[in-house]
Amino acid sequence: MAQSFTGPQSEAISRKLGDALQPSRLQVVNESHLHAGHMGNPDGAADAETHFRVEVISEAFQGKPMVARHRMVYGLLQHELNSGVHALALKTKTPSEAGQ
Amino acid sequence: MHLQGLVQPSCSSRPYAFGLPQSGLLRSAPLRHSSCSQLRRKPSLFTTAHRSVNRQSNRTVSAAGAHGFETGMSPQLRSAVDKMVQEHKIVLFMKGTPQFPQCGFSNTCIQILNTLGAPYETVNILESELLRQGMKEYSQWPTFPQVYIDGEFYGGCDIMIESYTNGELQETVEAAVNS
Repeated sequence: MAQSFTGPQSEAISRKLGDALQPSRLQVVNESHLHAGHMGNPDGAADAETHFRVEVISEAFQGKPMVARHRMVYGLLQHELNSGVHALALKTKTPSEAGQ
Repeated sequence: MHLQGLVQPSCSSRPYAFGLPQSGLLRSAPLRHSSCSQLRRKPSLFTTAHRSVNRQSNRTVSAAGAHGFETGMSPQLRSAVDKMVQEHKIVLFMKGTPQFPQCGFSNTCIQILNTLGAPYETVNILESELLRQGMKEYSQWPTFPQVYIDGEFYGGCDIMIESYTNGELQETVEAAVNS
C-alpha cells in the first residue's frame, strides 16, 4: 500500500492551523493515495496532496457549533483549498470534549 | 441568464466504483433509492428561477464572501437555490446521483439519509460548474457534499457522520419533517 506523502500542502496546513488555533493536538494525514483515480487526484500521483484527514483539538472551538468550527478551519486553509486541496475530512474538538 | 437545463437529472451518469474509503458503520447500510422519482422534478425547480424575485434573506448568504469563496453567483441562481432549500425539508448537494454517487463522501451522506428514511432531494453539482462554484459561495463551504435541513445549511459529510452517530441528526430531521 502506498505511503502517505508529506509535502508543501501538508506542511502549510499544519503550520496555519497550528499558528491560528494553538491546538493541544493536531494531526494532518495525507490520504490522497486512497483517492487515486478519484476527481481531485485523477492520475493517482504518489506525491499528490489533494485529500487530507485533519484532527484538531483546540480551546478555540469552545462554545462554537460544528459548522462554525469547520468554517474556521476552511477559512484558515482558503489558499490551500484554492490551490489543489480537494477534500478535508475534519474532526474538531475542544480539549474537554476530547477527554483531555 | 438562461438557467433552463442548468441542472438535469442524470440517472444515466456513468457508474462509479464504490471502492472509496467510507465510515465502517455505514458500509452495511441499505442503499435505497427513495428519491429516484423526485429527481425527475428537479429541473423545473431551477427553471422557475426566471420568475423568482431576487431575495437575499438567507442568513448564510448575508455573510458570504467572509471566507473568500465568492465567485459572482447570479441573482437568478441564488433565488433558485433559495427556493430549492426552502421548499424541501432536506436537500443534498452532491457529486453524482443517489444511484451513482461520484464521490465516497457523497455516497456516505446518501447512505445516512436512506437509513433515516426521511424524504430528501438531491442536486448533482457536477452537472453545472456555475452551480458548483455558486454553492461554495452560497453555503460559505468550499467542499461537497452539502446538506440543507429546513432551509438551513446543516453541514458536510463529517458533520453528517458525527451527528448521525450521536443521534442529533435524527432529532433534527424529525423536527424538520414535523414542522
